[in-house]
Amino acid sequence: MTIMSLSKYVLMRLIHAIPTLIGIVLIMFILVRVLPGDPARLIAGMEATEEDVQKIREILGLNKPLHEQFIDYISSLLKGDLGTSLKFGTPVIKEIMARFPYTVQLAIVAELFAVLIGIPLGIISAVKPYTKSGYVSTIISLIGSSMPIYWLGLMLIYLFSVHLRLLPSHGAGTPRHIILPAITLAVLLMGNIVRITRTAMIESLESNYITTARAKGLSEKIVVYRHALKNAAIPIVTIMGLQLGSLMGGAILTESVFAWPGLGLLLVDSIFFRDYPLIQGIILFFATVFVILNIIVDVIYALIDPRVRESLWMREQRL
Amino acid sequence: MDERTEVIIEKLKKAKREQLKLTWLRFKTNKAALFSLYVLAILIIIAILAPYITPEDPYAFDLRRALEPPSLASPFGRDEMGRDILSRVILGSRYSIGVAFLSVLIGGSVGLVFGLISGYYGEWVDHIIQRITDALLSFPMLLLAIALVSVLGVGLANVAVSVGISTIPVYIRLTRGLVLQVKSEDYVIAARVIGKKSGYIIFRHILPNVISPVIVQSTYYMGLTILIASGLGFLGLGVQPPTPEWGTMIGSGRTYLFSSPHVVVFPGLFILITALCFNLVGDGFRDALDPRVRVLVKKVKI
Repeated sequence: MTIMSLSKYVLMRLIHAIPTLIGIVLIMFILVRVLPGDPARLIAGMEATEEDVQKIREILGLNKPLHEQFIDYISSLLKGDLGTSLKFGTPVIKEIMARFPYTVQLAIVAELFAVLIGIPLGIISAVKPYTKSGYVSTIISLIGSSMPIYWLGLMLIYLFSVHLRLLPSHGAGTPRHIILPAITLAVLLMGNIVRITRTAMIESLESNYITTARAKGLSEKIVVYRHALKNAAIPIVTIMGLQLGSLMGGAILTESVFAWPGLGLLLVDSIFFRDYPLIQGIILFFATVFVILNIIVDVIYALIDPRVRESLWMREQRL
Repeated sequence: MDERTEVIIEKLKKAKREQLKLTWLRFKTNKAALFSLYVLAILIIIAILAPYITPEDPYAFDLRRALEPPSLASPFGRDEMGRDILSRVILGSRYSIGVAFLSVLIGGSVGLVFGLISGYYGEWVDHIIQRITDALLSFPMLLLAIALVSVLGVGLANVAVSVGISTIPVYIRLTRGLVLQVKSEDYVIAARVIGKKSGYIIFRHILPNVISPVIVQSTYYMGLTILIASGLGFLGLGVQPPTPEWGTMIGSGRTYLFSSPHVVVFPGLFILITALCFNLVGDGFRDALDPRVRVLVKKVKI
């Protein structure tokens, strides 16, 4: 595939993302307006009079006919206007942008921890299968998919903040603040990384070019780290892309445990405050980021691996 | 029906029984999965019998005994209201496992129906359903559940519905994939040729062939929905206190973490054990499945 067709591929991906994004907007719209719940009543509280509720409906534009509401909603979205937060009185987009960097920070450090611990563990258990380290990878992978991470976070706080007094238990500010939340979130990600690294390394170590490398008399270290790992890299990058959803979901829980001032904590707080414009804005923002990141990840694979490139290309053609 | 047909039908039925037996034998070779199945059986029995086997009243508070650490009299200690945590964990199994079961039932049945329609009818019906699935899949599952809860409101039924809905897209994809595999089999084509109605074909010929992978997927989802529903409970967006759902117990106990960690330790351990067992049983079932359909069943995470 040439550069030309690669850019065509990127363009195709972007075009295919449009219906998905419209779908997300539609779902958000339906969620607030069509489902049996009444946001205006929820905002006003159960004791409020019908007049107050009606007033809130007018402020939110919920009293207009559905199609008008939809047009209003879409046109303001196109202008980048997500509405005004009921709690802060500021534009929703401003609140989101203030908190988003914290979530990104947490996500990156957590992914880094997961990779730094997960990949070596995966390699060890591939190089020495059927030993204790082989089981370690299975166990870590299982824990990743079965651990209530908010509980793990609390346990870490008890151990490191209360018992050992080593690390702060909540908040942000110094680099030390991010260690516990990042470890907590990393546990969610690590399982898959260990498992995939192990599988990819085993496959890679059994292939012909490794036999050739060994036959050439290269040392085992060079064979494993230079040759085998390089070829195992693609599935590892793939799994990191597939985990974006876990990363976001996990961030909501983790931020809540450690009072980490990211978007997840803001979302939970705004639900308690029934700040509907803010809730909608954050969810829409998260989903859009998710879609865009997925496209970026796909394009990165396409750049790394010609085989992936071909199969992605085929997949798009079929759609 | 002549005698020959009857013999053939009898043979087919026998083959089916044999296959089921084989699946069970294959499952049994996975010791971890088998052990987890026993643990789950015990947990489910506890959940069913919960109100009759709690040593104390799970709601009876006694502030003089608040936050008492574990002792012989109350092995898991007492919570901030002096309630017996063991009794609350026992009753909580009902809510935690129950909510997960309800949501898997809701998500599984709705997803199954739409997946069957999407896969069987194809063309524009398939197209519309698949685009909606795409949009739903672009929400991380916990986020979608939170979005739904923020509109429907908190509480047991709403949480079950919200978490259930957020599992639908994966079920649609799974069922559709399976239907596409089965659709071109000879017996389906034969049924169509002799003029059977679509509804009949779907129920008699397609459904029985897609149901087992859907059940395996549900086993994985039981593990995940327990984590998500209890996560919502922890955030204060799930089952509300004083109902002793495990996540809710952790959420209300976290304030006392510094002085009395036992309040959050035990409910969390039970979430971990239950989710772990469902995942291990899921692994066992999955490996016992036909390899052709095995690839379609997805391991799921938050």
